[in-house]
Amino acid sequence: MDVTELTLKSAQTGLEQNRFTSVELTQSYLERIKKYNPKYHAFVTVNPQALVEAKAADQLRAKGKKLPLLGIPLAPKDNFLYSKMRSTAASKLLDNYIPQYDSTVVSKLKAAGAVVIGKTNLDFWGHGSSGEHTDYGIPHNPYAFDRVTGGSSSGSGTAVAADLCLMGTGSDTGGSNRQPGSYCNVVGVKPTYGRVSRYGVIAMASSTDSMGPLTKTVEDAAKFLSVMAGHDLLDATTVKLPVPHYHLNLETERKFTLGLIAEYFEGLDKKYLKVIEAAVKKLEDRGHQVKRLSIPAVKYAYPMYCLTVFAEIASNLSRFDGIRYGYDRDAFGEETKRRIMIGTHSASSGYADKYYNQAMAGRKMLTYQFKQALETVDAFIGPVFPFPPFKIGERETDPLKMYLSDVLTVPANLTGNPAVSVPIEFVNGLPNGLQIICKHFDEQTMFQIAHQVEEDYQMYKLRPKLV
Amino acid sequence: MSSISPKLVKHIAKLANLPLSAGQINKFSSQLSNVLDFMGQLSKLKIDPKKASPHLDLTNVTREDKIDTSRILTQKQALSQARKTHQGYFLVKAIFS
Repeated sequence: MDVTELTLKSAQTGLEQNRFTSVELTQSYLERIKKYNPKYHAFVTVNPQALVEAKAADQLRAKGKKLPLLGIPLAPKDNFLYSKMRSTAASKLLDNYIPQYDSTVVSKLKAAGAVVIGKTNLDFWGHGSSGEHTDYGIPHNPYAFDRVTGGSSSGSGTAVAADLCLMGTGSDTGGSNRQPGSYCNVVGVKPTYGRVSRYGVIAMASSTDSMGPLTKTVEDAAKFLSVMAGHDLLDATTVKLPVPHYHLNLETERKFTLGLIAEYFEGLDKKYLKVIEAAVKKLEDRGHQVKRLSIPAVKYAYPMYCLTVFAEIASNLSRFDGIRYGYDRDAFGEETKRRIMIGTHSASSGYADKYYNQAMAGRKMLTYQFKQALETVDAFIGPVFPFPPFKIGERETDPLKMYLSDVLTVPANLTGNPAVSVPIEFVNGLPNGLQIICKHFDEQTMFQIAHQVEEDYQMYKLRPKLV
Repeated sequence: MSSISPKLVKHIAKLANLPLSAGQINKFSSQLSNVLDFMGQLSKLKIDPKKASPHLDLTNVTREDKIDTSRILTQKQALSQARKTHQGYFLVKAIFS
């Protein structure tokens, strides 16, 4: 078996039993990156020191050191600062930017013994749900070369699906981990807001940015999250709750009540509906109960998201003045400029009541309705995307059409709830995920349900045929 | 109609400190109108303040007003990414001519 196809658990077993070294594992990924990255654009930058980091991990292992991710080659999205490599956020504005410090997530991964193999591509600054808005080459879907990967953690989705690294990180502001999870047949996690530190991740929208894993399996994601999560003095929104070892508690006899929210299914393509219903049926066959619900404010979630998040984008990106780092503001891509413009207008004098303030009030109602509904069920189950991976360039000409790709993922960002996309049956021969949303800080239940869905489908056994 | 005229686009661009080309001004005028008209449907949502809650029950986090030296960048580090520096400072355009 090719070592690049291994899951975290099997790679760790291999390393522990000295069947291969971290240097050998890293080298295998580097060879695949060399072969496939020029076409697939999964990475913005490959770490020239990856083998040095792997060698250091092997030396630690030889000394008997045990660390949760020792010698595991993984890839942070290129908006996670790592002081040993440039961080571009996939924008030419930061083409030469070398951070002076590490993000908390990268510090934790390094402390856990991980090897940073490279930094993955994204929709610049996180601005997109297809992967097409990047200054470093559009990532291609490993399962259908001419189609999009989902975004904005497009590179991590591609890299994990195409076996170019073992795991990737992503930042989910409106669906950015779940969407490439769904389109690339991998697991994409958005943890509860406050579960993982945002420190040192180039901010998109400070009130919804959630850092999480993209992995081959639910177990990998669970273990990865238990390393990333936790309180951080450098991010005041992180909470002091203990971090469970999620991966050690995936099996359960519990019978769950699963909520199907009517608004998530309105107007959904019939083929999608059929596949989602089949997944729900399998859960019912396991003895879980299904309850049908309505959350009226979900209908307005996208406008709430657009008008608040874009205002935060405008504010967060105002720091890029070309003086202390990076190039001038004309280096922003057109999509970024569009979002800054919409956000500035939404919060500006004379318009704020109609747009920003109304959206903030609506957001609080949505949160209330989510909370009420989650008192009657353990999780919501539904689709991730309203349509299958589209062809590259197909939707790019109409920004509104593109924005509406996010309609099923943004509610959990607005309310702060944890959510995951777990791979289920393909639609039209293309990857597709099931979304599971749980109560705040109840990632454990989310992983338990996702684990059962994964057992039912075992989509991780598929391998894309790369070109 | 929330129609965003080219004149309004120029005004927003000024607020946002964003250089736009003439082509972008016209393009954004129609695209922003389209997007904001759609978002305007939000005004149909009746807000009931009694049935609203913040997305997380967070309270303010404070710390002692003390310098944490472990977090301070050296002057050299702080300047390391600037394109223009002068005698240990960031160089900016003159505000007064």
